[in-house]
Amino acid sequence: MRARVSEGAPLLAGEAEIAPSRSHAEILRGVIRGERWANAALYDALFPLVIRTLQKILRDPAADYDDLVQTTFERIVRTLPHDRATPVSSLSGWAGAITAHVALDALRVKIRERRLFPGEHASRNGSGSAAVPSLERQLEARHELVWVQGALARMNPEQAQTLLLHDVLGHDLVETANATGVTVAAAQKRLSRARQDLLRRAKRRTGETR
Amino acid sequence: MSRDPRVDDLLAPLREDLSEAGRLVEIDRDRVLARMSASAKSASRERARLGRGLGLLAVAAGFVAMVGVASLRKRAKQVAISDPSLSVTAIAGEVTLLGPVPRRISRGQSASVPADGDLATASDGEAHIKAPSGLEVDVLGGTRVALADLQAGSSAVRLSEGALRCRVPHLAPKETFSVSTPDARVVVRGTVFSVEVVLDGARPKTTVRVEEGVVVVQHGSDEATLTASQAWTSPPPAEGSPRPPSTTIAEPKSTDETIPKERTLPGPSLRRAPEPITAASGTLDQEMQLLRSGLASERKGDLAGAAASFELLLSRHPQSPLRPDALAALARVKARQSQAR
Repeated sequence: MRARVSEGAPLLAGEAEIAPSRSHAEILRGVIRGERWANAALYDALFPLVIRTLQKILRDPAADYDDLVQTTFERIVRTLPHDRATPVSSLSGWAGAITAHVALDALRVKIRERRLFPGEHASRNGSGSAAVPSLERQLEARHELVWVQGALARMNPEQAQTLLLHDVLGHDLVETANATGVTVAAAQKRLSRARQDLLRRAKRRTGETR
Repeated sequence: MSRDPRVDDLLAPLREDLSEAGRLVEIDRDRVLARMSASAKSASRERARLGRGLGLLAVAAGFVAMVGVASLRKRAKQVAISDPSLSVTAIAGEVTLLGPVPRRISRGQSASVPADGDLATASDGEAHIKAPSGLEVDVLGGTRVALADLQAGSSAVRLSEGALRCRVPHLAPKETFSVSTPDARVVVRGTVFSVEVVLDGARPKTTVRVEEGVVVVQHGSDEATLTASQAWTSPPPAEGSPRPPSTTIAEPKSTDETIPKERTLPGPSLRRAPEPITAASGTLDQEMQLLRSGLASERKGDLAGAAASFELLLSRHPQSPLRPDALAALARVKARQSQAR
């Protein structure tokens, strides 16, 4: 995945207080060189977005967010543009795309584990909803969430990532395209196919339940 | 979010507020920062390794490309050699292809012809033949040559009357090329030489002149080796009894003079030729004639004919004193041809 960040553009809200004298490109260059101050600046700027995205997609209080955050930042560092002159137009969109990718990987792992240890996950989900007044409603919502997560985990990864960025996390098509390193037309095609795939899976599921 | 409400419904569980799941989570910031530093270092190492790999790949690709180009050139050469057609250019006078359907080639024109039938030149005619093997033959006036002898794979040309000038490419080991006349056989191995057969009454007389390389002349049971600037003329047969052949060597009088004088090879079976060879003076006349012919053609607007005359002068007489004039004239004619196109 290629990233584009514009030279001198502000990072995210709140970053100005952390690294007021550092431009966007300087921080990225520092990260590439492995400088700690740059890592800290990038982490502090992106952490709110990363954790929010992970939580929004996984929706699991028991998930190991510590590991997931670490994995996400490692990927961010590894996928920084090799060419330091290459601008990154939307760091938040790019980081969101990487986070969504990590979250989708985690969902796939979760689906596999669910297949192997169904009882353990059922009890974990059940314990998470014990304090909710309407247990039935909570269970239904949980059921829908697990289904859509499963559908996303089984979908083509690029299409699932595009669907998450656009339809769940709220990025527009241009941001989604930039974040995933494709053209707007390609992003549009991925999005359309992802939606069709989701609807097809939902239709199949309805047929099975009948 | 989505234009399709069904998709929105399906994704709704992911869009809900993070009331429960959005609780504060504990993240070990220092551990993450340490991992980021380690990742940056390993990523830079991987990039360097990738760069080296790409460099090696580029070198390998260059090598493969060179091998490919060499193989294509070799293949093209093989294709050219396997092509049986000959390139015939009419330099001067009347040049006729004699076959099932006789065909005349206009002066200055080139034709690709199959290696079949004969090529004949009138007394004032001259032609240039280029064979796929790289062999180049100038067919001088009053000559008839079998084209089949010039095709790829052939190693001998028969000449019954007239004159040829051959430029033989370097041959493979044990490979030879020869010109057979009624009374001699000229064997060569990569050289430039001319062979002339003159009928003296009913008796043919063969003259061989070597410009480059080495030529072996076999006459009866005798053999003479000629090197550059040497010439050989077959001797007349002795009256009443067969006479041994003679070998006459023409060599320059001095370093700045190209008119050769005669020298007879020593040996019991060789004797002095009855007539000296006056190659150089005749050559100068020919050179002048070619230059004049080319200039005349140029004046008349026959650029192809002019170029052919100049090229013939340059190829046949590379040491000619008229070479600078011919080169200048040829460049001028080619420039005019380019403009005309």
